[in-house]
Amino acid sequence: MRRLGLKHGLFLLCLLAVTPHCAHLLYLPQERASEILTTMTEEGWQLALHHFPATGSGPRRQFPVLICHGIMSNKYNWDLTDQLSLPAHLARQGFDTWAVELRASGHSQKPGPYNQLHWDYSLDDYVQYDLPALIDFVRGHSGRKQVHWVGHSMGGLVLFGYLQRVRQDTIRSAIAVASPSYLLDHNHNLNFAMDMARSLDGVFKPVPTGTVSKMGSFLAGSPLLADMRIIWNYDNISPSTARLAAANAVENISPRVVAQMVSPLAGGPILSADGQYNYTAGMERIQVPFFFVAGMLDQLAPPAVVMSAYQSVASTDKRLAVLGRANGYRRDYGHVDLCLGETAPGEVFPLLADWIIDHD
Amino acid sequence: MTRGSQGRLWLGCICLALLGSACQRRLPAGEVQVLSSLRVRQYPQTQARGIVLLVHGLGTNGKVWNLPGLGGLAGELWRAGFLVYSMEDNLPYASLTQRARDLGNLLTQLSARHPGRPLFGIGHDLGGTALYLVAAHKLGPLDGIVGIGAPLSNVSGTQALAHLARVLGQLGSLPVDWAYLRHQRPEGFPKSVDFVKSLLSVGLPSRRLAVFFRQVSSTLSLAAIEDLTAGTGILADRSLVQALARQAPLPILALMAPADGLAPPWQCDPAVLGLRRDNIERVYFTRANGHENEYNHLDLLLHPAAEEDVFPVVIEWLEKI
Repeated sequence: MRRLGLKHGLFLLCLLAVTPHCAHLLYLPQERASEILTTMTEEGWQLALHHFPATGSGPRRQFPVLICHGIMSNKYNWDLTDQLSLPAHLARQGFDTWAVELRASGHSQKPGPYNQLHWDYSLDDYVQYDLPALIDFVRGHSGRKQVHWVGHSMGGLVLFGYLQRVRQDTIRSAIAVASPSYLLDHNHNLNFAMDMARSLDGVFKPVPTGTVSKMGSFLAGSPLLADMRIIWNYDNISPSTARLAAANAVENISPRVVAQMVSPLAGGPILSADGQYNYTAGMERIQVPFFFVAGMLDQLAPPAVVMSAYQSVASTDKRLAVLGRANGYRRDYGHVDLCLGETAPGEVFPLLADWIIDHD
Repeated sequence: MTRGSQGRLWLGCICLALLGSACQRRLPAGEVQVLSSLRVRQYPQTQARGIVLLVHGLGTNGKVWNLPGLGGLAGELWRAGFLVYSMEDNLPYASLTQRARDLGNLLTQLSARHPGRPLFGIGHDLGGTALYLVAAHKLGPLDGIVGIGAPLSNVSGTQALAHLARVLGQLGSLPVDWAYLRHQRPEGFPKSVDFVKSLLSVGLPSRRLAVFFRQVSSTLSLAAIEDLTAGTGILADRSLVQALARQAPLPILALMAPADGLAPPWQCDPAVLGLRRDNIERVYFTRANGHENEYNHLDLLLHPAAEEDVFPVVIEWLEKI
């Protein structure tokens, strides 16, 4: 009996170990980038840039575009299928486009047994090391002094930080899609998840969000729990996209980043890891042309929060769009379906492209 | 199990269901009175645990609380033991300020009529806003307010709302209701998007929507729409919230829906607008919060799922207060 239990236990362990890899193989995304280049941060992290050179017979645009994923994600956040690919869309519009990956995401370097890197980086490291390395690399490659930036969720938040703490003259124009400048306690399920994250602070290193998501990707096609609607609006995302995204677009992450995102009390500001710098208060320093996009049903960055960021920045050239039926869109958008929703290629991508074209 | 015994089992179930519904206390028709120049329906109650005044919103009437043949919050409150008054006055009012003054007088009269009993105001849409104004400017006595999709500010309305204001502005003083507006299409709205539905309800069952358009929809007032958009300044910026913050800490329950096109949460949530207190509770009704429906403006009162999702929250809060 004991031997049987041990056997079963070992079998279960093996199964758990291979499940994420099975999910990855079962839901295999295709690659569209023409090349993947890398650059190195000042403190030695290798970062990946997926290059989508301008295509099509239309005019070639002046400034390159960098597209950045959100928290716990990678370039599949914006480039999952032929249809659901903002980089490919912008490349067809004549832009030299780069889907970039922050440290420990996607093709960028991850901490492991064969390097000296650790799962202890913070949001501040993205701001002060990753963004300067990525932006300077593309500026050097294209020979242009400025770039356009499109960030989803934390991909916009890290740009807020870069503009506040590093420099502003390298950014031609910016788009923050569903990027919060503070967190709102409006969703019971999200509040519960944040309380859980706080109580588990330091238990996991890294936080195994990617592993869990891969293991559960078989089930991601339908909302088994209400909590799953925090991520996207299931009315606007196909089951196959949901499974593909769960298997490929979610990454493990440093607990310090999670702590920084969940530590603010209700309505409180987002602070640096040492608590000395206030990213929320610093929004008023931002002066570059800025386009803020929110989803009507977004639970992570609800319109009220995005609106606050829009109102805070000092930019004279700024715009806000809330994507929902009441504003003439076909769907009420959630957090991730602003990038991967069924209607995103027809409604969101042209909206973003038009802003960038107008500011090129 | 034989077919005969199966049949008897079904018959038993049906009888039990019928008996259950018959045992449920039916809301009486109530009696309409004129109090402080307002028409008010009173649903009689012996041994009331508290007094509740229901105030409907823009372009609706008192039936929004008790949809003919389908029920509503009025019945649930009455069954929970509250003495319920519901405003029946569906004339387009001059302005929010005037409506707030009328409500203040009405509440003063109700308080005198039922001394020592707690007096609550529950308002939907601008009905809730008028109650907030009563509290903010001390126009009448209140022990608590429930605002259901009730805007506290007119910051950044939706395009559908702006279009509504434009249409009403063009029509001037001509009487218009929601049913008429269904034929209007704002510029840039795709054909698949019905702008009145996107403002009010996308998911309301067609039977209920038909009852709404036939019986609940009433004349829209341009003055009130101006309050909601730019004009009068009552809702501009955070002035109402700031006025509320200056008053004694009145308990507030703010209910709202992320998909609400007429009164979105960024206009209704006191915390978003800078008013955060222990006795202010906020609930967002959305499937992401575990609710049955993706609620919109009307759904908060008229959707069948509101009986499970919304009404118990209101009653529990009133009982707690």
